[in-house]
Amino acid sequence: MVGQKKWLPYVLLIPWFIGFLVFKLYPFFNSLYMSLFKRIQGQVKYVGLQNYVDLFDKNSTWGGLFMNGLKVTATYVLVTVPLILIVSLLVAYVLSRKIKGVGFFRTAYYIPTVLGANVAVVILWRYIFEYEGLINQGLSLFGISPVSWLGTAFGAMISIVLLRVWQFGSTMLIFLNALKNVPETLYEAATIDGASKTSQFFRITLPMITPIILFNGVMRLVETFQVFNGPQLITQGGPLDSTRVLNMVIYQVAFSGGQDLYTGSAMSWVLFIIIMVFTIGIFKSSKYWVYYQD
Amino acid sequence: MKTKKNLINRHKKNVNKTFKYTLLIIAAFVMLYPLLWIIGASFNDGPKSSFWIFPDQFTLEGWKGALKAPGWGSVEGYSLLRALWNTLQYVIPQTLFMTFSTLLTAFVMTRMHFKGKKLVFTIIITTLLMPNTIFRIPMFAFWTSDLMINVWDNELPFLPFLPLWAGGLFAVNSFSVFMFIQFFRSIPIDLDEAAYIDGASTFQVLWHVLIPVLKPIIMTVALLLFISSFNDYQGPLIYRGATSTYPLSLVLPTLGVDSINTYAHVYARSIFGVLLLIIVFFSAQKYFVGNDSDSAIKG
Repeated sequence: MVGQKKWLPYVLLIPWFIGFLVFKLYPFFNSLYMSLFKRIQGQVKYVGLQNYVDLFDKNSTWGGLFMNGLKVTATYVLVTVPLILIVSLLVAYVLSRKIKGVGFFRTAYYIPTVLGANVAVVILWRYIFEYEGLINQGLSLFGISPVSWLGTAFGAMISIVLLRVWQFGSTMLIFLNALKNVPETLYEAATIDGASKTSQFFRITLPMITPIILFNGVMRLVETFQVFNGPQLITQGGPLDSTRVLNMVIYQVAFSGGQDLYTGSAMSWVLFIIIMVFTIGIFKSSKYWVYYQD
Repeated sequence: MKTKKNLINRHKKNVNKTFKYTLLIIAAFVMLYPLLWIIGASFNDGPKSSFWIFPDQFTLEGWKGALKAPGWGSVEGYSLLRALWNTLQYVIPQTLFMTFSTLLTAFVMTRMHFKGKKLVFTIIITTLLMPNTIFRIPMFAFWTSDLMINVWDNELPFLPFLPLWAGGLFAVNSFSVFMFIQFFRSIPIDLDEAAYIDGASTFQVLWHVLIPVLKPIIMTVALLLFISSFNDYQGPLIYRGATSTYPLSLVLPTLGVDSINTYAHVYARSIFGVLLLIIVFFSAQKYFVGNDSDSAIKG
């Protein structure tokens, strides 16, 4: 700052700049470029937008799987994101109200977030949801007959949604912090005016943290659109492709079976465009529901 | 009349409080029960067929074979310790380098004046929202190109995992940069200025003034990077090299229940697979969930 050399910040930013060029900018445009090519009889040829046209053609090699993947991913995202937001906000709200042992509860609720994404735990999720597994054992205590979780489309989807909702910890911590920053005077004034706890929640708490709801919503949206571990390891996309999400299809096309980096790139771009449309839509809508303090 | 109302109110408050704690404890129990059940199941002979934690038929067989990995690349003598070491060969460099490079980037972004700062900030925020999927295929093409493949497709230490940690050298994790920027902003600039007036250099300010203040935050970011790298599955899956270099995340899924591996084995190995994660989390969590260091993660 004082007597700082003019070139120093630029030199210190060189690593970041190389990272941006090599790991972000180059692959971003290269995947767009690659999506315009196709390997035909061993030769890579320019095909324009043909890969994209094929993706939406049910009779092409990957079209059926891709369109199914879109549907499955959309279902997963639209169920998972609101659930994570609601659960984490409720838990954060209860914890923010002068509770003894907050530290204990915060740690307890955060543990699944640390462990839940690990392959070792994801594998066990399968055993927990299998016919003789923990969930059905638990249900039987209440006299509910066992459910074939992994054998039905609906049950399989529930098992992967629950795996993700279980890891609501980071979202909760961000909400918790935002809730602590809501000025106590607002609640005091409302209490004096005789407002109930419920109406305080909807009229003070919620509006005050709408910027954080926006932030958490967008971050979780971008992340859940790319879900992979759960469906890949628990359901393997089954039964009958009912949990074969887009990222699994892309992995299959580009890496495991197809070795077709070109179609895979086209799929990544469609996924990217969908995520961007959702993100921009949410940001555009934010002026109607997000409250910004100045 | 007044005292009666007060009494009822206090009673209501107590009921409310009890209700709240009961709810919180039940919720914690529901969330952690699957993990406890797995511990019980690792001592159980055969498939576990009850809801309760305690094993139906006690056995130590699972834990006796917990470190063995029969069927891993059909090579005798490979153990899960080796798989753990393979995992650490990308987790350690990734965590160390990424923490340092993103800290440095955030320091420049918040404590120095230069032209183009706004543009750099916009780029960081934009890349924060970019899905990783879009970068994956061209990066794979890059790492498997003739030029790069010879650098990492070998069995030397650390190098076979280069594609998984090289980004750490170049601050590519925008979320860490963003978090550090938020944290730096919460530290009054007067602190630096006092040091500059005393004749300190830029690096002395970073090293002797800011880093000590930022220690809990650095630990938090490092912990989050450690967790996400340790839990990475798709990365190791794509940049799979020789069988001997398989990390835990590739070895564990191949060890399902079969004629050699019992349920107890599978559960015990899974617990071993996350043991280090648990140890690291609990030793670092006093910096993390236990205090307000998450206070700068704001929208």
